[in-house]
Amino acid sequence: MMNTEHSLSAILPMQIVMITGMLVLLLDSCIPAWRNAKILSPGLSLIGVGIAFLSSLHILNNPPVGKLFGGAITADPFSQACSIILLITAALAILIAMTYLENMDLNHGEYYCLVLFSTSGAMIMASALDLIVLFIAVEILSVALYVLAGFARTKVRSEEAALKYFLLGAFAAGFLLYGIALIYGGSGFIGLNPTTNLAVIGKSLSMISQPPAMMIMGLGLLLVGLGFKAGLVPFHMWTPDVYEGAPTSVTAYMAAAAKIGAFAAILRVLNAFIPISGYWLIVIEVIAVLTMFGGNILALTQDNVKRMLAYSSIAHAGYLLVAVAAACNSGSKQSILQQATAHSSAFGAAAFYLLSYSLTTIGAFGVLIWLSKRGRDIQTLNDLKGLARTDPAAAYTMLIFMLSLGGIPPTMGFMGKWFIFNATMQSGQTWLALLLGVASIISIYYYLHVVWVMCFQEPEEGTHSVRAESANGVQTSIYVAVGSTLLFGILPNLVQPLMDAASSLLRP
Amino acid sequence: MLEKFNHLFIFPEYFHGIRLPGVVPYIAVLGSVGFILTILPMLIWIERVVLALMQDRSGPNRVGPRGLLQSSADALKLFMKEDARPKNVDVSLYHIAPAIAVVTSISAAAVLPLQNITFEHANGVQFSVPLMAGDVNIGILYILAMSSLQVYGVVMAGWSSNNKYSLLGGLRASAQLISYELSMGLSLLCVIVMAGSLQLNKIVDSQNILPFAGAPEALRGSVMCWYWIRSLIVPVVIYTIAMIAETNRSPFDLPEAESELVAGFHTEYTSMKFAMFFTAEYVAMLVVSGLNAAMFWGGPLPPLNVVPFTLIPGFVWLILKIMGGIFFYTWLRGTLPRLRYDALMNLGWKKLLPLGLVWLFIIAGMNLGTDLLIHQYPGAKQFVPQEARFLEPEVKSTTSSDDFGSVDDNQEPVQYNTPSSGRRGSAPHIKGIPVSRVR
Amino acid sequence: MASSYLPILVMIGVATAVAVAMVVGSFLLGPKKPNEYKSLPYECGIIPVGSARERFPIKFYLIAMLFIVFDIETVFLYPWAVTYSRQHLAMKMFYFSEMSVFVVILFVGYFYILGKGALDWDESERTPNTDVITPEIVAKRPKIRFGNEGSGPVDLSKVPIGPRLPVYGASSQEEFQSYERQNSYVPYTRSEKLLK
Repeated sequence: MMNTEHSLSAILPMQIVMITGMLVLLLDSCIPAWRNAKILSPGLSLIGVGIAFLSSLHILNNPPVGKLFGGAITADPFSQACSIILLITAALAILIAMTYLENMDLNHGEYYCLVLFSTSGAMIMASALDLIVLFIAVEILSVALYVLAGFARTKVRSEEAALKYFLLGAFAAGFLLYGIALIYGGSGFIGLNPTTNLAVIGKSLSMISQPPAMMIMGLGLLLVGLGFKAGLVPFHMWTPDVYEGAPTSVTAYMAAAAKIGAFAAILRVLNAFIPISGYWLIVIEVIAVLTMFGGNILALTQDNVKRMLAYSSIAHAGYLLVAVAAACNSGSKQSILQQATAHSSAFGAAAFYLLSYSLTTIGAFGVLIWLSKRGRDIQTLNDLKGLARTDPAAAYTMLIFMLSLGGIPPTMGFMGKWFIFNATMQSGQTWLALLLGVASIISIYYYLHVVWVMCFQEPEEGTHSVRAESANGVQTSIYVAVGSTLLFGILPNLVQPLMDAASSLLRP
Repeated sequence: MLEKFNHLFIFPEYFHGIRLPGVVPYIAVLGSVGFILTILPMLIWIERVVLALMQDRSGPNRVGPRGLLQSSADALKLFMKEDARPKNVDVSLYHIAPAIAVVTSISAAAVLPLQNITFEHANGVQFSVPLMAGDVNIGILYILAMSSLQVYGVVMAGWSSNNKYSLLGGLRASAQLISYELSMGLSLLCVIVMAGSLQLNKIVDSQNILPFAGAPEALRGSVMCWYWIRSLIVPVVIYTIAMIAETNRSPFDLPEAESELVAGFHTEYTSMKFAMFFTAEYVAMLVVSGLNAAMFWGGPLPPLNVVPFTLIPGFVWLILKIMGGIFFYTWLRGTLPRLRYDALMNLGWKKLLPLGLVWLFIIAGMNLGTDLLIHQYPGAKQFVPQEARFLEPEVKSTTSSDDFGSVDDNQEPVQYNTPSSGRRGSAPHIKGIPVSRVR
Repeated sequence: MASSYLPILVMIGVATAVAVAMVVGSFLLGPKKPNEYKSLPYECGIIPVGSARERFPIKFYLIAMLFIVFDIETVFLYPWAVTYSRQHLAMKMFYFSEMSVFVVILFVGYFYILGKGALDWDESERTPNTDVITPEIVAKRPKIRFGNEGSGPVDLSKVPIGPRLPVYGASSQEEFQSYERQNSYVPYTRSEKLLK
């Protein structure tokens, strides 16, 4: 009984987020939507997210001892770091949605509870130590996101996005589950009771020389499933359509939260499999290169900003995968100490990059939301023509987000890329680091293209000029994003505790 | 003084080398199917006569005494009628639908406990075997599964007939059946929580207890120990409403509302296929009334454990209770007008479902509260119903293996250290503690 | 034990035999004289119009989906209910609290669908579509009345006694016309009363 309470208190942040979601759900069914969805539901959600943030910080400072739920879940600093990034993302997503939903006539309280449910799913993904828990977490995250993608239920594009995401996501969930089954079976071959517990598997893998083939196959299928959620290149096809079709606030949230959850899970899973990294590291490296170049090259020709940002998010997944490859590289002729340093600095870099990516992506989509008027969605580059004249504030914030996404100082994106580059060099994968540099140089073209359209083109005749309406929620979240992008870009040491927490994930 | 007749009903274990307890289930199969098929015309007669009395008219009075043979004559007539099949029906579904209805409703009767038969082992120890076709540990799940399968007959008939009335009737029937199945399951759960078993004869046995310690033996298994009162009446009300809706009877007979849908899902059925739906409906009434009797009204137990009642065999009591249910059906049909469809759905989803769920937790809380009370004041044990868990020394395992299929000790005769009182319908192991098992 | 299921199988077999006997019996005994009109679907004596397999209200799908959800929750309760009463006191409290959490979550979903009107079969009770939200739409609409529901008992003393009002239907109209021809009766309508 004591043990249960101990375990329950260690997953308090997720419980808070989930209970808040349920309260929002009840609130929505009790009070007519037009009254509460404006302020009550988002307010309640923000309060819940805030409390969860505080309790997550508390757990980060006082990590619980012993196994939680028989070792199925952990509350280590890595999971809390991911939870903190996720909660920041969720808060920003709730803020940017407030006016947007009203403008698009989508003002249902379900939006906020779905955001909260999927946040809790992603948080569980970050803390799952058992593959079955991981699967349930992926489903909690995904099912809420499927519904969110089709949230504009009167728009065909949104419906299409939801259906596409749902069908492909169900397919990917099948891969994930097959992979888990094979790993479960394979773990029986290495002298264990068959288990899906990552900690146990990792520990016993480090003691054997030859892993069973079943386990390698299972890991491959697992990577397919998680790679789908993260939008890595061979499994990225859904990304542009879903990002374009879904309501913009949902896209912003989805781009950030799903990626954080998926990369937290990828890092944790692959961390357990480091002892057999000789079998799969090259696959990760190849996928990383494909993802970086595929995303960036496909983004070059887009004239729809949402679609362009979708492809850019694929490219960013590639950069993150480079960090993963750096963290898991143990094959090179380096000393154990050097390996350990590279490992921890790569984890820190990944955490920093996840934070910078989610802040900038939500900011960039937030600017689009800020500009969208009642019933009109800003999507294409044409809509942004001459923005610097009509609305300089929106244009210059967009400029900063584009610079950060492109990795140009003095922004957070630059520091993130620098950390990843550094970690990759440390781990001895020089070629990967160089390819990362080349890919980011390609990406600068299309990011600066947006800036050029905004600043150096005349507004089109005939269309009414775009001007941002005053909207407190969106403005708050954009200014928070801009401020932190610049602040952490100049003083990255402020994020050091988070990076330390993330890099404390030990090698098995 | 009449107690001595009890010994007439105690059978030896072996008779000419045949082990009699092993034959009991097959006797139950023959008995229940035979009973169902012979009572059917009677049921229809009872319904017509009772309705006629309520509506102040004559009712059937031509064939046989007081029209008693009217239904049999009807059945014979239906055999002689042409089996007309409209064109454009979905042939296979059209033919299989009435068969599904009949087969599921008759075979649902397999797990009803008719009574206990007492046998005497060669060494003089008596033990009892329940007279039921399937003494299985998932009895209630089986009966619920079979009654859910009846939806298929209705839906198939409605869809395959290529008739608008049939389709509407089939849709209404399926929505109604699945809606009321939930509240039905929840009301049964209230009893299952108290009895701790899904096995119907164990549930009957758990009603065969003393209402409080030191109560006279006449009150053992009497009407105040049955679950209708021990579950605080609400579950039996929910169950009774749900059972009427499950069998599509008035006032919930929307699927076959004559004034709007002709005959609902069996509009296009003639001859014996129509009679099969009719049969299925009445058999379903018998089965759900039987489940009601077994779960809430003590099954084969007599209302008082005193001589004139105990001399009547258990299955007669069960049949009397079932007939009470049938009378209730007819009474409602003669009294209440048909519900509107939205009122029907509101009753099922908005009232019975939450009420059942809340009541389940009241029952569970009551169970917990009793335990807490006895933990605090062991003397309180005297004043609560003397359930088996208070009498048995200590239950060791947290989960018993005989709940879901692994080992089923009730199938084998059990020896007890005290001989049974010889009363039919009583389960001796309530009084004694099993000492060994004869394999 | 598996052997205790054998009598159940026998029972199902006997029931199947009964069903087959019924079908075969009527097939053997009944006459077979099919004709064109007998094989038409029955629509109260009128020639059927269109196919019967049309679209039907989405409500039924909704009910089916909700049934799946709640039925699975009920099925979860069965193993709990069977093992609950035989637990030790401490374990029983744990069982109770665990299932309470489960049921509370279930009730959250239940109240949600209740509040969203998924269980309202009658449209007039439903909260309006919230896609376009204005106070006018949210304003409570009058409840639909079915027939003379809720009208209370009829005061027969206030029913006017006079010539029979027209009744609709062919024969009654003929009767009324002949009556009108004889008495030159002009029906008394409410609008004329208002004009006066």
